[in-house]
Amino acid sequence: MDNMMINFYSVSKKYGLTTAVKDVSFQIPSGGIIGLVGSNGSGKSTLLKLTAGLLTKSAGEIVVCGETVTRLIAKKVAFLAEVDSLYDFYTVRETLSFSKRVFPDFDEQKAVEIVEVLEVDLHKKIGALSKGNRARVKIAIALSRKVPLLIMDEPLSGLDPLVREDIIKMIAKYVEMENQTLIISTHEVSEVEPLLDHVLLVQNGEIILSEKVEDLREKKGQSVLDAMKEVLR
Amino acid sequence: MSVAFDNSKPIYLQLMDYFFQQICSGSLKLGEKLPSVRETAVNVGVNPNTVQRTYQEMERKGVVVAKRGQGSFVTEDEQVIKQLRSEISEEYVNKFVIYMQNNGFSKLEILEQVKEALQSSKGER
Amino acid sequence: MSWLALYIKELRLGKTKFLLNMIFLLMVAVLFYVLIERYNPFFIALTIPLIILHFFYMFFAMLDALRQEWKHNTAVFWMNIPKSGWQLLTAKYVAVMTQLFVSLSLTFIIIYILLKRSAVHFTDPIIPNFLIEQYQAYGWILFVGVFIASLQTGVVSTFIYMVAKSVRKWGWLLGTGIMVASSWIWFKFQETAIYRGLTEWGVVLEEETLMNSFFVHFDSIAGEPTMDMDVTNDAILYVGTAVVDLLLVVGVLYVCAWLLDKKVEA
Repeated sequence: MDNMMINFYSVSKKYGLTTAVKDVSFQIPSGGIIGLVGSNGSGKSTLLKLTAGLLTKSAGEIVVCGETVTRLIAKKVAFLAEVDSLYDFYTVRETLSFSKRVFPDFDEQKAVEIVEVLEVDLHKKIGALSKGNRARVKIAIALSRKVPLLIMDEPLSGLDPLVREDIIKMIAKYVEMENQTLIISTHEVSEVEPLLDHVLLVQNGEIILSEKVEDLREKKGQSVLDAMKEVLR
Repeated sequence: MSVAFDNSKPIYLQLMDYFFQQICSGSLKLGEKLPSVRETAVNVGVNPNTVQRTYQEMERKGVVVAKRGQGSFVTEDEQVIKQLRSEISEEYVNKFVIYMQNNGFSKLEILEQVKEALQSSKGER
Repeated sequence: MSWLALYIKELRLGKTKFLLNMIFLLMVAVLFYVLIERYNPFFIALTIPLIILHFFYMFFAMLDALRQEWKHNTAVFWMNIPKSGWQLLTAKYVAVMTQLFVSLSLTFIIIYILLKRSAVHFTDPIIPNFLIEQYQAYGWILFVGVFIASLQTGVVSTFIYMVAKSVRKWGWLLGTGIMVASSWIWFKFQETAIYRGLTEWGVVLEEETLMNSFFVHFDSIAGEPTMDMDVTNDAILYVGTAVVDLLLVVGVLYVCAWLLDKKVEA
């Protein structure tokens, strides 16, 4: 279990009376890029937020990087939310220096480099940026944190194709493959498929398929989408 | 550089095909340096681990040589490339011939078809 | 230093509303000034609600500072900052406290100026002069009192908000309930000997001194006291009370920080 990045032991999560996750147990190994796929409302976001300590479990135990999860797992886990989560009164430049000061693991040079490559104006306020540029800055910040686990909740959703392509390239370029694990959740798998090492399929808050992506292709001649269809049938 | 991948086939093999085409056609010359693993990954939007595997596979076949601290290079051994070209041609031509024969084409007809096809596709890739 | 970065961020977060607050105060000051100059110096009494408003300053300002994080979805970013809840919350709290200090100071300065102006318009200057003197002598006690009381209302709203974000359903109610219950317990505790033992040190002001200052003035008018106030129960203001009150604030904040680290959901 020690080389496992994420361990869920009979975890449940209720929102009031509705149960989002019911008594699930699974492990996710460390290393590589992992896709968490499933339809809308399948519980992907809940699982990721539980992992990052941004939601509290109703029962069970969650261990990430060998530590029981609370909000303070933030020192090992960078969480990228689907929503615009940056302070809009800061300029891009200010957002990066703020990040430098509050994240001890932050590589500001890298962040500036990414933002400049993507041609985002450093002196504009976050609130004045286009939706696509806000997403670019957000991802630049997540990718510049030297943490063992990077979680991206629907990083592509609601963005136009150009931005999506940029983001996929940024991930390929800037993830520290040797010492980082990246989990990406998405409901449109085909776009990120070439990026993935491993795929996890979620349904009703449970992981019902966990496979190496190249294994699927080599042994079964299946794409992730094919495998999803087969399992969900 | 852009490659359209078929998600149901191993991506490392598709990427290798892509590089072999570049090498056989001469776009990548003998002894030329390949882009780094990371560069290739970014250019085609693929997981760096997958690119790594492609490079290793090409090394195993002797088509690519890794030089310590310098990167990966196309081999300078012409023989290897010749071999690769004939392997590729053999594989595809054999497949094609068997397929045509299974469909009842005679040797002459097959030759005719090939000639025609070559003429109409002049220079196009 | 990351706490400082957080503190500055909180100041920026509250900047716009704080500017509105300042503008409001200045406009009210001008209005009162006009009322006093044009109509009646007794309009000075209208400044009292300004002070009373500051009792609830921290309550609403903390509520707003926290609500902003959730309303603008920045809570996911804020809570992903790998600093203790204590640091995150105190940065917010101290930033709001800074605003309270500026706002309350400005209010006191305004009142002082208006008092001075109104004194000119009284036919008999004895009463206003007496007020100004009292204000100069004891105004700081009023300032500190309002300030500390406001700090207490601030932790109340912080606690309620933290519980509301920890318990999805009825969290508001639960948080409010706990606050009401523990306030009641605290009031009961204030009647005990233990509380007296903890707080009754460092005399700031004795009721008798205050009353004597009354007598002196009124004596000077008619030769004998016109007002006869009883020194009821030897009321004394202690430094100890302020210290215990502040410790209470720190204690509640600590509980809030714990909630933020362990229970609160983004």
